[in-house]
Amino acid sequence: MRKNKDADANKRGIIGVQATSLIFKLALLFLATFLVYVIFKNNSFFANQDFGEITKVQQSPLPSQSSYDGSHNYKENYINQNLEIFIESGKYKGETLNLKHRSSTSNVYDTRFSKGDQVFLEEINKDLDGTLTAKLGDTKRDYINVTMLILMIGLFFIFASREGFFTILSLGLNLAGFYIMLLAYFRGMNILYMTLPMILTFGILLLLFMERDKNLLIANIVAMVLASLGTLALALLSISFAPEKIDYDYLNYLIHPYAPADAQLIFLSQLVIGASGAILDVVVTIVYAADELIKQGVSDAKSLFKSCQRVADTLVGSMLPVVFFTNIAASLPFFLLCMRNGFSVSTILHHNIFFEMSRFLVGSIGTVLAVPCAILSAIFFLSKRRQPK
Amino acid sequence: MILLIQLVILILLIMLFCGDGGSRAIVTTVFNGLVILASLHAMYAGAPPLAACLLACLATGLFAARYQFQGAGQARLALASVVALIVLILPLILWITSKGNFEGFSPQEYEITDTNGFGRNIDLNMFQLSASVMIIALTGSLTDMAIGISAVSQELKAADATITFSLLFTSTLRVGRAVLNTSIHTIFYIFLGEYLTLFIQYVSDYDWGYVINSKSFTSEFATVSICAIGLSLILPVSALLSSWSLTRHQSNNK
Repeated sequence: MRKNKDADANKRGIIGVQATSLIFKLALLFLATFLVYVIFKNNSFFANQDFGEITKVQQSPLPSQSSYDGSHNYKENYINQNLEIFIESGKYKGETLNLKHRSSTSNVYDTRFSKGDQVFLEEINKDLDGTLTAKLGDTKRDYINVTMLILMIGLFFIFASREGFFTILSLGLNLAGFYIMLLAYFRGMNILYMTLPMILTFGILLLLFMERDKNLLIANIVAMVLASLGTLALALLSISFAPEKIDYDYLNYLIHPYAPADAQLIFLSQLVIGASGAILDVVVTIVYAADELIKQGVSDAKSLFKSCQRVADTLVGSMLPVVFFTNIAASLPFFLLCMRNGFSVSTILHHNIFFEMSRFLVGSIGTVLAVPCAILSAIFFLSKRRQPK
Repeated sequence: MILLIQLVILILLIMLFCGDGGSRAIVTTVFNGLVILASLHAMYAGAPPLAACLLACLATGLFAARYQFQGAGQARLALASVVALIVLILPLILWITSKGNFEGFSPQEYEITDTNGFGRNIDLNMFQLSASVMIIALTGSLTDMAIGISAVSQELKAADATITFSLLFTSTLRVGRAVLNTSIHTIFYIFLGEYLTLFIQYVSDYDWGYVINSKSFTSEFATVSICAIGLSLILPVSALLSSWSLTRHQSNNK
């Protein structure tokens, strides 16, 4: 009885130490975040444009505009903002400036400023009578991005520890690889021929970081390659068998003018990249589960297949919503913009957000295709070595 | 037509390679799509976007817990942890959206302009819509991981029925790290695929100083970082909830 009490106290001690260590790490992270925030909010010493902070906003209404979408009338209110800006960098640092700004209340294409926003200022000039004038630029957002970056990486490190380091490293290398690939693309190289091998290479690199066992590694790699190639093949199939040509006008952020063949390669690259994340997740989970099952004595292919299928069932069920929501979330504002401009829902689904829908469907196809690839790969590479001698 | 072919291929693959769970996944995805459409119609009709979005997330979560995972204990715990986390992160989302001024569309979206038929006088609360986008992406990324962590907890408890709360919690945290790593990877690639064309624009036309201050980059990076922060935080939250739920009856037997 006494021994148990000691053991419990020991465990409580360990928990106590871990909790203190966590609180310390979180405190350190918040301090770092706050420091970064302050530094970038006042980075006049390395920002390449002058900026200021809005200290007062006075609003007055302007005549509203209306539009009609075929069934409803909408009244858009416009406002005039008189902004008092405290200049924080450059020759006139420390002085105040007054600017006028016109904005709508919906802010579909424009910006409404608030007190505390930092804005860029161009061509700050002093008139003969001493008043300052300038051209109002866009909102300064660098401090927000850097703060979020520090917070994101910091929290990830705290909760993912050592494995997290490898993930961050691999993601960083990924981005660097993408940058280099894009530079090569601008020199005329085929983007799809570069994307597919690069994605597979980085997948293999990550697996090398994560997995020590040679057989598991090979099983994972083969499954990942098969599933990725299969997904691309099915995507190509769906595009070639359809009678209509894809209108790449709505491929968001695509540079206009574009060559349709080039746009198609970019679109296919997007599909491959989007699907590969889910494919890797499914493959690693199933191969690991198959390995555990084999260790527990399940040796014949058929029952292994059935057991893995049960694992895959839950996995697919939880992964499909991920692929769905992350792909279509960003398209919702555009969806609503179209609805309020009179487009019908079926038009929107088939044309305006065609690419988001397609990314979701192909991503899901990849997720599901990874299941048989992983199971077969696991059976082929893992069960052989576990055969009783 | 292309979408239809892809949909048919997907359904065929699910029927071939997945069991009941896969068929339920089809129904769940259809339900999710219908809920999103319904909330879009609500927003179109004038409902505040944030409220419609939160209701939609709740509806999809409840349906997934009840139908997809058939009311299993771990599914309800996962749903509870997702809801708790969204409440926790909501202030951060609102802070970014209000400071970032990135509601609406950026000049990088060449096709979306007044002159192409996408007029601006639509009287819509784009600020709330921006926040809704992040919440929906966040909900999507969190559910998978929450289910995974709850499953890990349950496995550990099944392996050792007398395990204490604190040991279960720390073990779940340790094993759950692998789930966190793969989840981060998954959403990273999905977002990278989504914004490939934007990166092409950035590399070809703009310098680093412009990019880090631009509306398009900020709105995209905000979504990605919120999802990543959410994933990092749901590990302890979900582990805490499931460990507590699995061991709360034990203290009575001491």
